[in-house]
Amino acid sequence: MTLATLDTAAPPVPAGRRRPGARRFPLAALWLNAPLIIILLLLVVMPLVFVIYGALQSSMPGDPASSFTLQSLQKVYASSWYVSTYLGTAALAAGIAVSSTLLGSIFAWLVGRTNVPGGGAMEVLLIAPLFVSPFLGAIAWVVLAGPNAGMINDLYRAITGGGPRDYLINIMTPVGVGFVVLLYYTPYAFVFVLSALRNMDPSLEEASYLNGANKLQTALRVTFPVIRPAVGAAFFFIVVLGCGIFTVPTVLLTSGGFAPLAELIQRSFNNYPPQPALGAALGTVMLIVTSIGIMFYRRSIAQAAKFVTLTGKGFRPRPVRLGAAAKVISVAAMVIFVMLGVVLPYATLLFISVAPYSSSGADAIRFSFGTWWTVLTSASLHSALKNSLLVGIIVPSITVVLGLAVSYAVNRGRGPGRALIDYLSTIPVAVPGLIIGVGMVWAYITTPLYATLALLVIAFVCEYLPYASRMSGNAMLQIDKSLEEASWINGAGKLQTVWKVTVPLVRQTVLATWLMLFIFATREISAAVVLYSPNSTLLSVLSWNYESDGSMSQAAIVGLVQTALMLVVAALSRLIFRVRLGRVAA
Amino acid sequence: MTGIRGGLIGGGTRRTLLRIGGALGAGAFVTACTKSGGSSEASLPVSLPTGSALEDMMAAARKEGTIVVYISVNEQMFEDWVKPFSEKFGVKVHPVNTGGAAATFTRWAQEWNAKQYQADAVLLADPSAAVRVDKAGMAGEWIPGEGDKFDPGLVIKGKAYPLILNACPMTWNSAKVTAEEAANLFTKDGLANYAYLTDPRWQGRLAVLAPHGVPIFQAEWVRLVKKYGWGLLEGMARNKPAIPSSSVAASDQIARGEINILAFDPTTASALSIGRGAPVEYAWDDEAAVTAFDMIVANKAPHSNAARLFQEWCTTAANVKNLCELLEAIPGRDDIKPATKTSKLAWYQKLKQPKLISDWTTDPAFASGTQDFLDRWAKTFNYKR
Repeated sequence: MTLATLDTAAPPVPAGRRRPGARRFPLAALWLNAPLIIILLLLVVMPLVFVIYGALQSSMPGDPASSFTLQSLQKVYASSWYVSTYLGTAALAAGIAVSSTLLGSIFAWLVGRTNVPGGGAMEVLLIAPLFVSPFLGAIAWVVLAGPNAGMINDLYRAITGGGPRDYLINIMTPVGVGFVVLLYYTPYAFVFVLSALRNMDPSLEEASYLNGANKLQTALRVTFPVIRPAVGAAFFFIVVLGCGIFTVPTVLLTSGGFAPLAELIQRSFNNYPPQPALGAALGTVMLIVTSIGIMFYRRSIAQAAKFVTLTGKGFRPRPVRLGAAAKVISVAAMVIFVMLGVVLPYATLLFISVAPYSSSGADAIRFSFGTWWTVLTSASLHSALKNSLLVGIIVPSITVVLGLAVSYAVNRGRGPGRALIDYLSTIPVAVPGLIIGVGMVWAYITTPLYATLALLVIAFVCEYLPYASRMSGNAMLQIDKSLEEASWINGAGKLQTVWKVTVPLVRQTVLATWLMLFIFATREISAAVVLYSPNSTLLSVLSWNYESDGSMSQAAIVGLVQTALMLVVAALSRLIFRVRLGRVAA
Repeated sequence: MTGIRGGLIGGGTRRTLLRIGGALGAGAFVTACTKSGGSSEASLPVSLPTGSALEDMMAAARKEGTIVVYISVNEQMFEDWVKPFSEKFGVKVHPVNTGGAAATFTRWAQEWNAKQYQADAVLLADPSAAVRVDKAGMAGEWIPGEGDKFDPGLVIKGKAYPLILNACPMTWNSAKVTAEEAANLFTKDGLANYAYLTDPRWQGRLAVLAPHGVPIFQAEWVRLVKKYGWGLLEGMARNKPAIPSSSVAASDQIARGEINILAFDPTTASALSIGRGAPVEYAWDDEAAVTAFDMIVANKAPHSNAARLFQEWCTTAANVKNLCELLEAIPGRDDIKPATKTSKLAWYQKLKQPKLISDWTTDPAFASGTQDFLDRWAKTFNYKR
């Protein structure tokens, strides 16, 4: 529909009221685009600039005597000392991404395209590992599968009569790190691919079947090519996440030798003598690596958008019929995955929480609930619980509003700057939380925001903005523009149209995004561990600190409280707003 | 589409609840983002006043209401220890575990440089850092009533008082080490037999603590190198030892049996597990580098009266003794004999006690050789930082 036809068809506009679209550029775009660009520059670009600034300093953040030097950058870029770290980190991230994407895609296909029993329940269960902090998972898996004293290996030795050096699984290796992280990153791939499968027109598969292709041929020749960009996006997204992991390796990789890049950054702040500039310099390496990942990620999501098939017709895809054996194997695989990622770790955390000291042998220790009482009545827990709840509510609320504004500007807005807004809002996907935290410390240490909960909120909003804008953008793409145009024709202003038409239509996705970001903010460690202060300690940081000072049972209890908080909010969201986390995959 | 109205709670009630929740949340957030102001240092006493001045100080401390203490010891233990202080003076103690001795100093120093005064007091497990803190003017002045009872060689008068001491013996899990191995862990003189750690039998069972973690670890490695040479370290490195991220993480793995033996582990870390019944034992060499956990009042502390009152409370004989018993530590005062659980164990009573070396903190050769030593150690054990 052209502007001319709109003008002809539109009812008379009340005096003093401008018809939407009558004046488009530049003023119409400025009210949204300009403020957004300024916000994104401050929120996203500033901390990254300060990471680079920090890498060029001789001393610690806030030191007035600090001077310009290239020493840290020289050590990082011009010596061979870190080459094995870079290669190892890249290999670890790529390995995690390949395995998570493969497994997530298979699960998504089973749930989204086959008649696997209990598909709806499986969808919820497969997203459940998102509720578990990978850090807590690592704590549990050390107790489960440590080579010398893990429960599984103790059992193996007891059954086989093996010697004390025999073991079945050694989780404390880079492969073990990959395995633990796989359990918690697979749901991301699952969500990406399931979403693509649901947006795909199943008549393509129907046509394949009609032309005589079997299930495998159809899956490989029709389904996979259509969802390939989504698979690619999931892969690069997980590569970026994998480059930034440090909590899991810190717990599992104690055998010397390899330590991933993010862990070295953390060490540079905590080791003696502290070298924050070196940490920032290593952070710039990570920025380069993850920027390459994000370039491919953006390319993949652009491709994915091309393959979305939206039709006005309702459709009900014909599920692929699995044989009895295939059904059993599929269900068993998904159940085992959930057992390994959720049930077993939580059972282990419960076990740890009632042990007076860290032990995997139930016969050797006296169980006690004393630690539970001590932790639950401690002031630290109460303060951290309050802070986590506040951050958990405020961060998603701000992020979702900002994400909606970004996606509206990008998908519905006009004028210059939209590409820049899109690009700036995607950048944090490429930046691990730890780096955002490092940049925030350098940027804000001399401001009143330092050591407040507000700084954590800013860091988390920056970190999660891409999720909010991407998900609300997806929801917005599925709304026919004619609905908004009808509102304008009937005299509603732009804001009124957004509030009365656009927002209600994307509401369920937005609420699901809010819930997902609540979970992320509640379990977040990487940025928080750099930014927390006496007044802004979160449950995740408290758990990390307990683990760091050797109090595994306290760490486990705080982790369980943290999970309980997530479950309560998820249940309330379901009760009050009927929010389903699975909606983010829709 | 099922919207808000499709939920189980009525729209009006829900909106009211959301409004109340929003208002409460906003209020709490503003409170959480608010910082306390500092007090003027010049007007503060430097030792415990008497009479009405003491009453005034206690009232001022109660009014301040809280203190923030940076620590690098077990947070729960610390909370247990300070509970009587809070009950007696009405001042809440908020410990912040900074993640290790080096991190404690880093955090405090960068906040000091940026004029962000967060800490009221700091329990600093690094005497060499305490010297730097004093030079930088980061320590507030307070002379405790019982300050002269502490080892004068470890005290920085009016600034830092060593509540507890820490040393690093060879440590192992007695359930995972065989009787024959346990016997060989001692020399014929009853001292720790470090040379035995180069035996290939410890491959996959041995762990070492990086000297980059805390200066006391470096001091202990320097001592071992001086006595046994780099050959000992190279022999241990051939066993590809685990390098846990911290001493407490190492102690946790020793208690569980994941690590069978640690070249050395601070007594404050391992004694926690020992006190709780874990099968952990240790042995001393003839000497051991020792570090102090200094309690220091922060200059420009936001709650300066409460911080000084806290320093006074911390340094009393009864409270030093309590802290030693909770953390199973060596006291920083000679006049105290804490009844720790470890000291009552049969294996402990047979141990030969070492000569404690504390002057490494003031040894210029130690400080000047730091970087070279750390680099060589890192290369020997293939440890990156």
